[in-house]
Amino acid sequence: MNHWGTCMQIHSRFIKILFRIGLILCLLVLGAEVFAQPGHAIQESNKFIIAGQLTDSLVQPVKGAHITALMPGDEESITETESRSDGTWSLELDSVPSGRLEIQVERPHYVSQSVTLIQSDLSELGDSQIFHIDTIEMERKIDVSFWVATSVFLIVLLLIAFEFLHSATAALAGLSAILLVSYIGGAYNPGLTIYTFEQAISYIDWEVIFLLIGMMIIIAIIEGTGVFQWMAFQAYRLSRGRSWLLVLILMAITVVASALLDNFTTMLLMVPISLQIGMALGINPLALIIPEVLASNVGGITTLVGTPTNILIGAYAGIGFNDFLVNQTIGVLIALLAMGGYVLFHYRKEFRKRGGGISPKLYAKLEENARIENKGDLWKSMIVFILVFAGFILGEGIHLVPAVSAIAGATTLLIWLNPDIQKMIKAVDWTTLVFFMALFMIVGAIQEVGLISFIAGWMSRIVGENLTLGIFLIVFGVGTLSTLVANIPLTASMLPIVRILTNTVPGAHSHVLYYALSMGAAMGGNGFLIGGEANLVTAGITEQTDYPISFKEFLKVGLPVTYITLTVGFLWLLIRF
Amino acid sequence: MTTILCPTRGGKESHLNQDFAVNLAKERSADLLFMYVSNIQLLSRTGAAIVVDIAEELDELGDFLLSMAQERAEKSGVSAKVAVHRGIFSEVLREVILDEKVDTVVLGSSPQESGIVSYEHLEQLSTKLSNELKVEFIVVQDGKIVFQTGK
Repeated sequence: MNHWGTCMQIHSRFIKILFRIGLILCLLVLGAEVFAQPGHAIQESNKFIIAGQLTDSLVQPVKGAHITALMPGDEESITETESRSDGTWSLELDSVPSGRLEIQVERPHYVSQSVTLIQSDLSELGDSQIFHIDTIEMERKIDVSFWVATSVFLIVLLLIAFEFLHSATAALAGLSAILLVSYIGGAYNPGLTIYTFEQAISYIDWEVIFLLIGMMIIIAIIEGTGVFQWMAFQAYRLSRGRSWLLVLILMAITVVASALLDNFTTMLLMVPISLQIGMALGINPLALIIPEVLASNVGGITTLVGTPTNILIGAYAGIGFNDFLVNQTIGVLIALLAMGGYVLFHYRKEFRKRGGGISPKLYAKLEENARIENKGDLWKSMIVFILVFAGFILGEGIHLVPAVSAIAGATTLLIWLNPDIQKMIKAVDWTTLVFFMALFMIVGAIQEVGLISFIAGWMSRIVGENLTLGIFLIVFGVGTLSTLVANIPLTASMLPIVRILTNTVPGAHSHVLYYALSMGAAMGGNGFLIGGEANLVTAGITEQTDYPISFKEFLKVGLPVTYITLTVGFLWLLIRF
Repeated sequence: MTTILCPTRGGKESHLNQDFAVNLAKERSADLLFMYVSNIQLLSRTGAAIVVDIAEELDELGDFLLSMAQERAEKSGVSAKVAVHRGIFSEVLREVILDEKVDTVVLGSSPQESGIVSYEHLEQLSTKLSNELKVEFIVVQDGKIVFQTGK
């Protein structure tokens, strides 16, 4: 009976499996049929197609242009369409007109163009059902909207640089101004229309936004475990009072932390414990902390998620996690070694000091301040963190975007650890996300009106076909600008320019100019104290003790380190590409 | 029994000023209270994500700095109490003076121009609070009195 029952169960399972396989096969066949439909429809269509492509003077595709076909002298169009994101377009006609046909191309911020098809062209269309027009080059038009968008963009940059307004407020103010001018001004003078709200939203890179949300939640959970403070204390313990060794270990920890977390969070975690360690050793803690912040700014660019600028670059250019590891990590590590050498030289007198150590009571307090808060949570979050990184690395094979891995990881941690969801949602920095979204739309505005094309055209003329010069200009140009200008708006503004250069400079298709942008933007942040958020927050925390970081003190170490690392980064890119 | 309050930020520059407060406590047989005040308004300037409980991190930092000061006092035979506070320094100082019934406040002034709080500011603060709360204020630089009011 039991044997018979078991056989029946196996039989039943076998039928179920067969049924499922059959169902999957049916769905696959049905799916194949559905996806085959458009091609089938085109084949049976009796339409006549006129196709072409629009580019600008830098051979970049022009999307969203309005293309109409009309008979000469007629005002009413026969058919119309819009150019796609790759600049291609196609007009469908029910019949071939006789005589001549005029194709008009119109797009805001470009000079309108028209092409006339003569009888022989139309005969060819009638014979083969399709007629290709040569690529039409659209000429940019500088109108009043160009000056409005450019002025607003510059004002936003100044407001952020001089801290007149919070960066998110400044970006929102700029965006509001652009949209109000577009809608209210555009109603009276069409030349004032920069873009529509729908066009503005299309410039937001949602992959960046969701990657940031996911990583912010993961960071909030890992941060709470105290693992990085624990590592800093272990560095103190292992160095046994040798400051030069301690600073190198602390720099290494900071590099690892900032490659996984963002630089700002890394420094929030590292500075308080480093101050305590420095004072315990009897040396100036700034000899530990300034090298840490320098290492943090550079170390972040070893991975896709280490800095917001890399997240921006990766999403914009389609550069994956592995690409950053393969093409950038070794160069950055060499730059960090050079940095380590300079730091040891600069602080040599400080590192020669040997303090008397601290009492067992203070040692115990230091150990207590650097304890791991919750080992269970640490293990769980480490497992998820490793899986998320595996998703970053292995996911590229199946086109799994990093944002999906990050969001899935964050959700897993929320379910597994069940932290206070309100606290976790608060940990997502909505101010930064709003800043990013508004910034994307403002940069979109200057792209619309052609400012980006003009700058890219100017750079193209300087660079010509010399890729080395292009890499040099971006590494050192962006690096120098980044010492003063916040690197996020700078990177966001440079991305469309780098895209154009990547398409125009021979050999740049390897994405080398994007890596140059990544290095320039991050390494330049070390030049001045105001060069990055991580620098400012470090200075803010040190002000809480008797060891404030002055502008001059930071400059003495930061500026040489900036140009040492930029030079190493530049040389690495020349070797690698 | 009188109480001496010595706010400190714990660096090497503070050591001589801490020693001054310790010696004063010894001389007057007074209670000594070391205080550290953290202010996380620094983070309001930034637009970056703040996921770290920095106030707690600074509390631990303050606790460590005050323990170092406490040890210095113990070596001189003075038993000192410590207190970590959060907020704007002048406001916290006023509250602590009232709560702890402080008689004398020893403030350290940095000899360097890069000091966080200028000597002028400390002098103004001392004069104002001294008049208002009838408390003695001593401003010390490198362990020496540079300003005194309310004695």
